[in-house]
Amino acid sequence: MYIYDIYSMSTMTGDLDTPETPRMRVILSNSSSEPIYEQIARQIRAQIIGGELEEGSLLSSIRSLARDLQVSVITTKRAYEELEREGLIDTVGGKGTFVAAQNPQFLREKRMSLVEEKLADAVSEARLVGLSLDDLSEMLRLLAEEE
Amino acid sequence: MDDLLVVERIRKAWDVVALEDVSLRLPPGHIMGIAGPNGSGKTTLIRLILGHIRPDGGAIRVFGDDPGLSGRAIRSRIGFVLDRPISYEHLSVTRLGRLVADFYADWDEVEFQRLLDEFELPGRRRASALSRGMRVKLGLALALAHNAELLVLDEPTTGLDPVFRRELLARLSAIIADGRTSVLFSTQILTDLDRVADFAVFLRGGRVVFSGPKDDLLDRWAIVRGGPELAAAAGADAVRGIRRSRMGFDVLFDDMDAAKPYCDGPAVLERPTLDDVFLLLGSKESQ
Amino acid sequence: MKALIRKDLRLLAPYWWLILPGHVLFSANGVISPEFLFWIGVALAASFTVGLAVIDWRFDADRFVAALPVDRPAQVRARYVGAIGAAVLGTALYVAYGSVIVAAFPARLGWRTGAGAWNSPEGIAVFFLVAAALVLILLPLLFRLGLVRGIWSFGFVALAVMAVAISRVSNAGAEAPSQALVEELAVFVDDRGAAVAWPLVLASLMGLIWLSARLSIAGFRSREL
Repeated sequence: MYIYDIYSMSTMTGDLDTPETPRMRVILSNSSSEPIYEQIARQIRAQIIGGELEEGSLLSSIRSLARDLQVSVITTKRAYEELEREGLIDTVGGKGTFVAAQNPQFLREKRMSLVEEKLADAVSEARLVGLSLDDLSEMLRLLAEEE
Repeated sequence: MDDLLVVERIRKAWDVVALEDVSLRLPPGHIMGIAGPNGSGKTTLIRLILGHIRPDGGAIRVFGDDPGLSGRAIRSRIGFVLDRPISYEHLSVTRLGRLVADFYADWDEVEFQRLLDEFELPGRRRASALSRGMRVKLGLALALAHNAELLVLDEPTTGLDPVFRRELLARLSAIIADGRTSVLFSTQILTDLDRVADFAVFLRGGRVVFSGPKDDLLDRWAIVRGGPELAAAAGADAVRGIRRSRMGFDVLFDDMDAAKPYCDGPAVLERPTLDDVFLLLGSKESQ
Repeated sequence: MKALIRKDLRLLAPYWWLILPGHVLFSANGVISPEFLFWIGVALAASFTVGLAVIDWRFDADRFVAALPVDRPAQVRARYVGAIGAAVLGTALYVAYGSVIVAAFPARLGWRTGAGAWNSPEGIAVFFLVAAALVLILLPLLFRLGLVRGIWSFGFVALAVMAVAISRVSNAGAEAPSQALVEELAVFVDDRGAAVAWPLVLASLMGLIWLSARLSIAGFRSREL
């Protein structure tokens, strides 16, 4: 497993005084059955939706990301293409790739689909160990109350 | 942008290796790894690209020109590390640097010195006193100090320890980060292509058995391992290789979706490793 | 081309400490007779070319050099410039060593003076011509066949030339092969007159260089590295 922290060089506003430099964190697993490009896309997506990468942040270029992650350029390109298709990032020719302006409604939908995805995972795991729907909802209720 | 390297239907009989119908394309800013066992034609292909030998048929274009005709102009834009990474090892590192520098109009001495420092190559040491790994580094420093647009490396990782192998491959992806320079390297070790290579070419017996984006292999292809009933898959379009195993068959598909129908029951679906692909590709069910 | 010639000099650089004393030591044997000095000098001049070929062979350098931005005709030309340069230098040293020996041992037998002597214009010209002819025969063989087979074939060619030379010399009755050549050139110059003979000699030398270089380029071009 390889862990890399990638700090993007600057923000689009050029405001160097922001205390927190937006940063992209990508962890790749060689043993995962998930394709590398999907691992990259999923993690960046989560950081955009989760607000860790703010609107307008400049992302690492395809090539420097490939260099930093030690993966092929085609892989990172594919990951970015996927995010671009989802409207999460924009590539401005000659300037770089930025986190796209999100409309709140869209972001909410995205976050919801993320919740849905994780619940689906939980459901299929539950099936494997033979948990009933009731057991599962009970578990969910307990978890929610704990917080 | 135009491809830096175009190889079209090359034929070449050379010693024991005969290249048959070999085609490739390498766009700027990418890494191509050519993998194959000894005698599969890797070095012959590199000699053709450098203009050391001429093809018997087909065409090669490097930067749009024929290396057999404008070899000199082409080679001034190529950085190379051959299977013998450097030559004239009786010279010191610095003297060898000066010897090579004379040949390139674009030589960047500052960059060369920086690379020597980075690779921890002692300038006064005789090259003959360097280990194979250090010689590869010196070859790489020589290859990188004249703004080459195409790097041609013949088995640079052979005989290197795993740490340095990694380091070298990492360096390749740094080289292409400018988006202009491309790298073509050959190797006997398939895992060298695992990460940084954009395009993989598998050679076997002078023929290309696979050529394409490496990600296609790792993400789209699939292997189904199952019992004797898998023999039925043999005729499917997406099947690229099939081999009898102890339990039944291993079948290589170039499309995961096409493979899924075959893994009901005990058969399992896996993402192939490059080794799997190389082993299975083109193999037929043997009776 | 400049880079190629500089390369050859750089390749020899680590050996100068060996070459220079070695050259003096070998040439010192020339004290025995002008014949000795002549052949030792010729061999030393040719050893420049042979030495470089041995270095290239020893370090398996053909492919390394061919991967640099050079073309093969330039590689051939550079070797010819070096080889002819070595012959010129060798000739100068031949005259220098000879002068020292004659000055040191004035009464030495066999060191004739005057027409046909080792240091007459004909004597010096013959030294240069023989030294040049040697590499002009050797180089096409090296470029076509590589070092090992090239040297072998050169051995056969040299044997044949020597057989012819010895038969001629014994016919002429001169006591030494180089002396016989010098006398032949002297006779040739006398017959035609200096104004005609020397340009003719020069022209044939140029012709020979041209022919040899053409053969080398053709041979080297078709060689697969």
